[in-house]
Amino acid sequence: MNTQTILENFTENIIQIMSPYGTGTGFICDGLIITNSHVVSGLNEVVISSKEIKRKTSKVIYDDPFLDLAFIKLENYKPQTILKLSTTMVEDGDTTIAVGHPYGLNYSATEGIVSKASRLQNNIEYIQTDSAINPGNSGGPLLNNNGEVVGVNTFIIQDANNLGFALPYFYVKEMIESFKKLGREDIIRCTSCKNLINEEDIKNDYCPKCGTKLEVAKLRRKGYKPSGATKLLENILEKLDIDVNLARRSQVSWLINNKTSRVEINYYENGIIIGDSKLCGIPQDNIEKVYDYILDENDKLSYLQFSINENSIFLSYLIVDTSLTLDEGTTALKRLFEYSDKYDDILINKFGAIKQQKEED
Amino acid sequence: MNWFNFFDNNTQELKHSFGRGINANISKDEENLFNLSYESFENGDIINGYDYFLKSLENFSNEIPNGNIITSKEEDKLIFTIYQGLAKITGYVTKEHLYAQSVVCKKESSPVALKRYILERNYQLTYANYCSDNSHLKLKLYLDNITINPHKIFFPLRELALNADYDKEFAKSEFKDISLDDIEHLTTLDSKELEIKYNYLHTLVEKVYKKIKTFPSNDNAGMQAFSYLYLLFKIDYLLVPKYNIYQKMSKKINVYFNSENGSIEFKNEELREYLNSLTDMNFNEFSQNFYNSKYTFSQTEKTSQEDINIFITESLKKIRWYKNNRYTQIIPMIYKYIVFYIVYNYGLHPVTKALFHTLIEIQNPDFFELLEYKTLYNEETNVFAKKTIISKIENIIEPYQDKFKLLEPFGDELNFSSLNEFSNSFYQQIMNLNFEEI
Repeated sequence: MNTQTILENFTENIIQIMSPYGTGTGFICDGLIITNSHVVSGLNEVVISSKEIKRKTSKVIYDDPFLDLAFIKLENYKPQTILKLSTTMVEDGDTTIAVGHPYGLNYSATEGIVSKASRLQNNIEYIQTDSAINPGNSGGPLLNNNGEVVGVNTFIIQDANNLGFALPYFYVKEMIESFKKLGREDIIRCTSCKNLINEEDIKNDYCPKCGTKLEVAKLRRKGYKPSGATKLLENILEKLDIDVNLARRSQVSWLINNKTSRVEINYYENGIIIGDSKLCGIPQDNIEKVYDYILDENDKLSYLQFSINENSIFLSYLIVDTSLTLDEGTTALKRLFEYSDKYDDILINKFGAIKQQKEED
Repeated sequence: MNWFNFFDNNTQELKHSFGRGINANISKDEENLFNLSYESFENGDIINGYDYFLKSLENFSNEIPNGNIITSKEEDKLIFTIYQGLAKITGYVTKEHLYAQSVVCKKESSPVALKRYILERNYQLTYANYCSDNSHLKLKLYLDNITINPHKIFFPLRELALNADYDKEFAKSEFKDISLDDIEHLTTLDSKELEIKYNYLHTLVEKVYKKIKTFPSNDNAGMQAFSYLYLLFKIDYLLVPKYNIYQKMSKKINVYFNSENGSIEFKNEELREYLNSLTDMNFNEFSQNFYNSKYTFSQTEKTSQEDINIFITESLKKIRWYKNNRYTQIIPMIYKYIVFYIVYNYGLHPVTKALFHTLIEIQNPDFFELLEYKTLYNEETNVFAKKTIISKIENIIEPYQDKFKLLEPFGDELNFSSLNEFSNSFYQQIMNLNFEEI
């Protein structure tokens, strides 16, 4: 199979995984979503999405920091084409294809070869590949020519060219079997004794078998807790009936799809919070009329303002974190969500502004 | 002030504007008024909170208010006007909110490019935004008073004022036919002053061009760069052009320092061409680029003493390099370049600003003589008005000694043997200024 066919056949198995700490990739295999432990960042819930799965939160049911492996619960979905783990070890020079969402570029596939079939690192064997792996690829599958998973893309050597490392399929197979044998969820693998521990049995974050402090257990217990302006902002979103877990792109950014509009909220280091809705593009005719219209509207609007950036019209709400209040913020963001749709329609229908092409979420 | 300097004390107030700052003294009660504003807001007294805050922005000449801020109370409202160069900001405060605006020009006469420009500016602005009413394009600001305090007023108002001023300047220089509104507060320079400035520009450029001809024929790009930039910074500070000259000049300087394209030789040529275009201007065209106005906010962010010291140290190292390599002809110019660079680029403490102005007066007596100021240095005889200089420095520093206990007048430490030695010792003393509050 060539790369294109592989991608066409198996894209539905490729999952984007988002947490407040970043994004990564996962893939469906054996009824589970397989990814790296560092992608789920010690959380017991992450947001997943794929071509066939709308953004939703899903439980992390197995976390193995030793192998940097994690399993996420897959519910109510079965891909038509099943992605299988390979059964034979790769050899030096074999073709490999890395699939993932590097830098948020969805469903990118990069081809390469096995540079070294077995590279030992901290007593774990890795497949070294020159398939370009970038941040966001983590947890994605490394496939062979037959479209079988030969490994899980796990890490790269930074500032080097194409030195990527994947956890071989046999570790994954072994851990899936061990995990399924337990017949339970919420399993943490101890980094010291390597036993699979039922989270319920962990007291004060210590491994009940060997007494090692389990960092992952601590992180899962604490969960993600926003504070300060971030918390207030999320409270405002909740007040507006927005599922914050799904909207959250990172600790400081949120994306809200509302009818036809898409509002991006970013909280910058200088303390400024900006809610931006990128409306339509500037039309070829009636351009000055559009300028006149949005300048006039700016005079009437409170909290919001129109601007132009790179040929697109933006409706925005800007506020300094220390000035944000629950009531004011709620009013402003509510208006931003409602008016974005309203103005987008007016600008397109009345002035012939160009509708934005929105990339799939 | 001590008695020794009493009769030599030159207390002449500046009658002209220099540089881009507010060109006046900030209120002596600034800090107190700012604190009173804080207290009022904390006590829920919104109107007085704003009143104190706006009063803290007032500036003075000869202890008389410049009228850069005008306030009045009407029932439960505070009405205010703020002046910032070309911009007149009018607004009001109620218990609930502040509204302020600055009119740019008439809507119907504004070109499409200006509308596009201000809409793109909206994407960059944080607090204020451009809009239009039935008749005008304007920059407006709305602030809710729920969590208000003086800091939350200062930054939005400053953004409104600085950008309205800058964008009106830009509009006027970019769209020649545009007629700006709300500029009745501007005053024109008298023709004598304009003539002095016009002639001085020509003399200055000619003098520096002559100097450049004395540089070694090869490997002189660095020296030429110092010369052209020195000219531009000096023109900016002494002549204070506005509109087209200011816009183009600041753009040239910006490109010189920030563009990675082009060699120094190429950049020098660009500056030379621009300077030629300045001297090619006839008097009438030149005169269109000047006005006097009141200013409330400084354009530049306050620079730390440490950053100023770093710049001086690096510049003095360059002087040493030229000295060691026997390119002595450039050295007097670099000594002057240092201070002009600083006043152009850095936001300065009033003390440092006044001290640097004194240094500029000393280094450029020809210009100040033309404006009928008493000169502090005679270039021909190499004689300094030593006592006046010492006294001036003392008068600048003394009012701040209560606040900064380690701040000491340094006139006696200066070297009056030559202008170069004097400049060098002056910079050394500037680096010793201690603004620590004990």
